Amino acid sequence: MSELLLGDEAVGIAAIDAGISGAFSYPGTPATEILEFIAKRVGSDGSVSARWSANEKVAYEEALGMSFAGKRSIVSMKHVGLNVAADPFINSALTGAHGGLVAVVADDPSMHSSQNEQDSRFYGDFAQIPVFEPSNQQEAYDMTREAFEISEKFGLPIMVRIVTRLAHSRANVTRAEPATVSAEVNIAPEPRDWTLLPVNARRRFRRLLDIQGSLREYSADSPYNKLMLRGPRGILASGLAYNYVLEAIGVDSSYSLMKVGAYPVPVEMVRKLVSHCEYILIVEEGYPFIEARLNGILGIPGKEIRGRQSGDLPADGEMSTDLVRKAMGMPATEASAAATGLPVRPPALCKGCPHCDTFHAIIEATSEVKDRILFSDIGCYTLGALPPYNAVHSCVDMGSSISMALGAAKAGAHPVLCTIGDSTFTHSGMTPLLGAVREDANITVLVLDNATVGMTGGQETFATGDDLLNLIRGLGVDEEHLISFEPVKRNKKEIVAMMRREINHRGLSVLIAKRACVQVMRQSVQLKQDKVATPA
Amino acid sequence: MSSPKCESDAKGWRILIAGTGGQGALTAARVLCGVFVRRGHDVVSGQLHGMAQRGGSVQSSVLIDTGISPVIGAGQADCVLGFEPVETARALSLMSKNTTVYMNTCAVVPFVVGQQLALTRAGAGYPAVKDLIDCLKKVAQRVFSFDAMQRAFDAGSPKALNMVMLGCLLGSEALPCTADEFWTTTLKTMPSKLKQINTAAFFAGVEWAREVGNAAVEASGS
Repeated sequence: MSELLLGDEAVGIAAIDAGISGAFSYPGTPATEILEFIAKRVGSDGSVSARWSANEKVAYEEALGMSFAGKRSIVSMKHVGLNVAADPFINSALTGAHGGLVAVVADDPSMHSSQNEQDSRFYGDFAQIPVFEPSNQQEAYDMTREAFEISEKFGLPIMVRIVTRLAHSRANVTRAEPATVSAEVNIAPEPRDWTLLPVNARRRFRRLLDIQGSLREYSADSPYNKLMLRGPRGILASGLAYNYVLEAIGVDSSYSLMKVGAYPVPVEMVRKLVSHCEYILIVEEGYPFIEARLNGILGIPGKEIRGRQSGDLPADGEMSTDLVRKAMGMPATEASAAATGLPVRPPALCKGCPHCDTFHAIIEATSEVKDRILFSDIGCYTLGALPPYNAVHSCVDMGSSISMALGAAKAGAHPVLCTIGDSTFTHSGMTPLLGAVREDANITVLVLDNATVGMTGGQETFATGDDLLNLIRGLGVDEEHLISFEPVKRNKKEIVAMMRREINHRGLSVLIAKRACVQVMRQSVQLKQDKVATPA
Repeated sequence: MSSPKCESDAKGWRILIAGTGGQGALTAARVLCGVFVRRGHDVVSGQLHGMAQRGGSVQSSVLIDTGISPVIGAGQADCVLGFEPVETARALSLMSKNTTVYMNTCAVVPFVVGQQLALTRAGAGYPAVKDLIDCLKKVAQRVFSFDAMQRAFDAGSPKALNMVMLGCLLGSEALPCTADEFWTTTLKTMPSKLKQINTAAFFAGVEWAREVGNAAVEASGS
């Protein structure tokens, strides 16, 4: 049984073969395809519940609840999603897992489509749970399978950390026999373990500390950590970066080589490598996680430890074979310089996108104001930061536009507007809006309801149209200043007048720009045409 | 297999597909991978699109029987399928004198206002396709360019551009698989309503690659 799969899909099929009952996630590049794949494969046969959650924290908690009920579950997200889910993630190391619980986190070094390139291995270390870091699609499958096994063995959630290049690249994956799991609900026997009152939490934290020794023994014996002692020059590589090392050294077998794929870092193995070698190059995708630990505060006298910290490899961005070759002092491969002066293709709002009309109206409505503040959020509409709009002054994290607007208004700024999409709003915008309602904050919130999660490929949202309107009404927004409009060119004059009025209103206004995403419209038209074209 | 056109020696084949969002570059890579996996080869394939799904640059790599990572290093591409002139030139640093380039000359000029502004600021606008070809020829010895989009139109749909380009690759006879074998395998997994157009497009590419390949061999006097 072998298939050509994306890294994300390899994780997904592993979860299916491990016998999960549920997959939980919120869309985010490069992790989106994990849940999409599971839903496509088994979502419709009723064996696995695979649906988007409102946000990553909710997704994590749903997965944790399933684990409490004795079933296996997977929760997947992009790296910054784990910031949102950090609270249940860290605490679940204390509650532990009953049914196997695996958290797959996809990091995005080089920030291809993210606002930072944080390294999730630090979170695994922080929570003190095992982390797997696959170097290829087959390992992504094998490690995810293994993660479910040891999650139940140690009674802990397990992290699988992947990166963009693995998530979005394809290779052959051979599947193993599916696991046999019980279909019965099997509730965690000790509810006190999951009730983190201080008296229980102290006991559970002690337990987490006590099993660290067995976790270290586990990773020391793991086949995913390997050491080959050869010459006095050594290389330590983890995850995907291991491939670049293999490509760089080629047939040269004079290097001592250590590969890390399972954490905690196998200390004894590192000790052997360090005592054998005078020079060690550490190659990691992400931050210098292993390198920093190996160096400690003072470094190792008499040893040359090279890597991102030492400056031999760049401190930021993705690793590559060319970078490894350079760090090893190997001659660069013969290559021409990149072509210069080529026009760039920055991502841009689509032709006919409803956000374009909304931004044009915002610009006109605030054109006479000198010190306008236009906060924004995470989504396609962040592209309103680019010309010709220049109508976005912030993009920090999901939901931040509304809370930042409140803060700026409290500082005395006026006018303060913010733009937030419908999905981002239900992800993390409702709670700050609730605060703004209570204070009647002097801000104008524009909820851009395009009825989809556009940037990640058009996933279903939780509340759109009347549902969204009723939801916002329910948060207590004054009816008089809760206005829904259709952002189209022919309405521009009225929209601008309405915006001016609401901006001048000293208090909270919520304006809903309601028009469907053009990509989604196009897809649904195409679907209809296909249905017509193919007789049943 | 030991064709002079696409030099690969015993180290396998590294193919880069470069285009813009919506041109079918990712699909082409998937089709290519699928066929070679079925034929028992080791295949890894990478794609970079991220936020570029809105008409931005798309690069996809297919490595057959070579490469541990899905990334093609500097100067390491054996063959570049350029779906778009500027995007082909963007892959220049992956090319060497041994690289064979098949390039579609039909440009996708950035159409969104913001991008037009970016172009104006760059000062040059969209470069002349001829200049881009000259630039490629300074690095790669075999650069073949043609209006592949026209062939796709002739075959029945502009969306079949990716099949024309795949046709070029298989028509070059650089890979360990004939065009006919490749297409027979591909058809097995293709929705029936696309078969006719895609077949016409694919073989238009094959035929063109054979023509320019033969002409190149004659010109070099071998």
